[in-house]
Amino acid sequence: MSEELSPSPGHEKWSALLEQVALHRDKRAFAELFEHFAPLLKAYLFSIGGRSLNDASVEELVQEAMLSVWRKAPLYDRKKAAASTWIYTLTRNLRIDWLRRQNRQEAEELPDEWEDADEHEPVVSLHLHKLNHELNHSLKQLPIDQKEVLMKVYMEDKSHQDVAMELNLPLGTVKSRVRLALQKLKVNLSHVEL
Amino acid sequence: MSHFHPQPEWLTEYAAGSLDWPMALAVGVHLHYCPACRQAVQQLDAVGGALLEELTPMAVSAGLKASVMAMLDDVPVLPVQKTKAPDVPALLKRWVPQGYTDLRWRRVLPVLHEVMLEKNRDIKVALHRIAPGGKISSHTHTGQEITVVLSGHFSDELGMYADGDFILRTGEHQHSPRASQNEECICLTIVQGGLKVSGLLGVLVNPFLR
Ligand SMILES: [Zn+2]
Repeated sequence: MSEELSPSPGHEKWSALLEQVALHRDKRAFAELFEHFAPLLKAYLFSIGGRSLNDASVEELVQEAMLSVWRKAPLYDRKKAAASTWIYTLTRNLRIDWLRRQNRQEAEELPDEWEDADEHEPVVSLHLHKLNHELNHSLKQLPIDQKEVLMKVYMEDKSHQDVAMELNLPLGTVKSRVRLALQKLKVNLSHVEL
Repeated sequence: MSHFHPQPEWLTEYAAGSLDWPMALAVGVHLHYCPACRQAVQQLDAVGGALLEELTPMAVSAGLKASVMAMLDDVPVLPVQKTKAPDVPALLKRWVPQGYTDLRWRRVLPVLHEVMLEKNRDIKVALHRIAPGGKISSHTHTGQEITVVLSGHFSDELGMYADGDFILRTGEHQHSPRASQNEECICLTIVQGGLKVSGLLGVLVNPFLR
């Protein structure tokens, strides 16, 4: 793979550490990942669905997420995703499970976790490489109103509808801001756009 | 290759993790069949990863790292994935460990069998099996219903659907679905909006909903 096609050049370090964990169960590498990612995951998990979780519950989820980084590291493939993307999807799936447990009407056991491992595209497109490479830069170029809605949709667990109500905007405006933002980030949704 | 996909906002909310669970299940099952949507979600996931890095970090409490480090040796090694039912999307394997034929199908009508996966007062998640050539009488919808085709084909006034196709029906649609003549059709069906809902199969299934 040529240098300019690597996902997010600044993040090679995290990919390498994840590979150390995968190959050698390297605790020092894991400790470094923990120091960088645990505080980000805490910030991410702090705003689940507009509920205010107490500090202890958030940290319990952070712990669960980091343990699953340790356990699932052998599944990580740097050709497919930046380390931050992989850790994000793991934690997002935990969050889905957590919300599902909270929303259950009966106290029923949920033995299985939300698992989408085999749904990933085996073919890594050139387009994805390009997108990964430019993502951090293009995020900084986003107009503030577009970045705001994108952050809310992704990081605050809010639907387009929730964001529309919170910002007192028409739903169509929120949808078009998200769509414009994703276009600028080079996300290709052409096959589902009318 | 599927021809009917979830709308772009659903793919975004799927990647953002904010889509309600049953809808996320339907989208996830569609992804199993649809390379175009998988590639889109891969890109949308990458956006999530980049946004995660934009958050202001929140310090974790002093003991957390030590306590996680102390647990590492007890974490079981990742089990090797068993692929007993390769045609079944991963998200459905908890209910369909061995393939569709071994399930306990309940007869609803001569041409229609059902396995309930989850049900509460707002939502019903089920598998449906329509016999070859089986036809469901014309009906409309009062709520939202999602159907994802898992195997076989069915058609209605609006189109013809095959593996992985993602079909959203709301109150404005009226249709009479019919399985193809040569094989049965198995679908994942998600009906939302409580007992008043009549879905793809809802008119017939509703009396049994209780
Ligand atoms: Zn699709």
